Amino acid sequence: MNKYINGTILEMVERVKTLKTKIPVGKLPDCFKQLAAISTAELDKNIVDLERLYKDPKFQVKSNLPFKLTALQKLVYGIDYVENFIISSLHRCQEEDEVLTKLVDKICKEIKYPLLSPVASRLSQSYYCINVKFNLLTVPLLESEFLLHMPDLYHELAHPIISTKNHPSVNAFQEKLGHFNLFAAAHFEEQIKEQKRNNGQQIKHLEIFSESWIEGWSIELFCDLFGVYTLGPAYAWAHLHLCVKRGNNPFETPEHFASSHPADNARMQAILAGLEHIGFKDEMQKVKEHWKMYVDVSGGTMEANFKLAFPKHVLEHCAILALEASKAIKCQIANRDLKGEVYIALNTAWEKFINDPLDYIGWEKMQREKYKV
Amino acid sequence: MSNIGLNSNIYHSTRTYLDLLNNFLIDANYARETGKTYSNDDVLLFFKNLSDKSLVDPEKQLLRSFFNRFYKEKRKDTEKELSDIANNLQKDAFDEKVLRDIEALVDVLKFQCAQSYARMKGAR
Repeated sequence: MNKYINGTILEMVERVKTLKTKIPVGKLPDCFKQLAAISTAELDKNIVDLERLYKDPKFQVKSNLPFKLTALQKLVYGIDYVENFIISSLHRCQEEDEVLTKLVDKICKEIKYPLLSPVASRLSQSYYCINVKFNLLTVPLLESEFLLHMPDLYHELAHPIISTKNHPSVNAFQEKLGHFNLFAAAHFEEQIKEQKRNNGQQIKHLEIFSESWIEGWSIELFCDLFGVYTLGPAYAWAHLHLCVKRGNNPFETPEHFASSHPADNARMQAILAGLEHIGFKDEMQKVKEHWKMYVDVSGGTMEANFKLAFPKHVLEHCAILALEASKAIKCQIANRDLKGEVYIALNTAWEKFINDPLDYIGWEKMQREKYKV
Repeated sequence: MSNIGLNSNIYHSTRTYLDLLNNFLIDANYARETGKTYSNDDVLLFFKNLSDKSLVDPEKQLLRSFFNRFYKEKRKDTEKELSDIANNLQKDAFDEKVLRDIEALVDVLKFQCAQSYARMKGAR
């Protein structure tokens, strides 16, 4: 089997080398060159690691074959990742991607983003998303040409703040998230103890909720709240808009396994609390009214498990710590006096849409021409 | 807003620590066969960190949660299991059981790594 694995390693080395040739070095705009350099360095590292598996004597002993296989599979995943998510963006990079990258850079400057602004590509097959290791933000082909969902870019910008390691500029944000996780875990531990004392029937659900908070919900809510705190009301409206177009049951809670994203209604509750914390009380009321109308129309009803999964005081504490986190890394907190071009464009877009949804498209078209997005 | 930001986080974190533990097992096995020395400082620090229930690093909290689910299914206590591994690694000659325990955790990370990758590619 070692011979077979070694043959596979040589095949993979060839694939990695070929992959390097798919980066269109002569055609890349300047803002994509850093991504090309990072990807090339990663591929070089993969070659070194593959060669180590092939040559290092410790990988050739029989008892280590299962671990050698694990190491190879890990490398294959990594190479697939670079091919599918990174090189494909470089390979198909066009002028519009450059424009989008400049727009994201402008947002980063406006909000005093503490990390390098990401490269942006219109190659997402799902929705707005970010590949944290390569700092590549992808958006669907059309999404970048319309303003109403653009606030979701602010959510994506928070993910690297959470995942970047050993960077003093973002440590404080991560610590606040860590403290919040401890708070949430303690709450559910207490609830589980109480259920055990009273022979309760909800222990399994509470365990699933607790896991979901640590593994996904707290991160997603901190990203939502970062969006609220740096962009203000437009972020809350964009959440409503996404739910109106693509949402399911706003009160959904996981039954059998931990879930990655909190229920839409929980997200909105946290977002509304966040808006109030930074002084947008009137706007908060307006969004709240629209949210209620949406929930009524969607037919969603609040089940007992929703309150168990998303206790009000936990959501409120999340909003408070996320604000402290955003302030701690010195990001620009949204307020009525801000003059940032993108900040004003996105908040004005939402005001226009809410005031007259039927007349909005003409206005947006003019804005698109102005910003060339 | 999509699954990708979160899952790319999980993917890279699990991949890093999968590497750490898997490399340790390779070193330990090789040392057993050849008598060559190796360092277990990094892996020891990892388990010491993880057995501290009050740790505030969200990435380590995430890993601890994955391990917690695994131990809970086996009706074992996470804190005790992780502390036992750390204590065992500090001995001059640790017993074989600790290698099997770490191997089981490698499988946990392999699963999470594969799952987060599949989710990024659109599978559930």
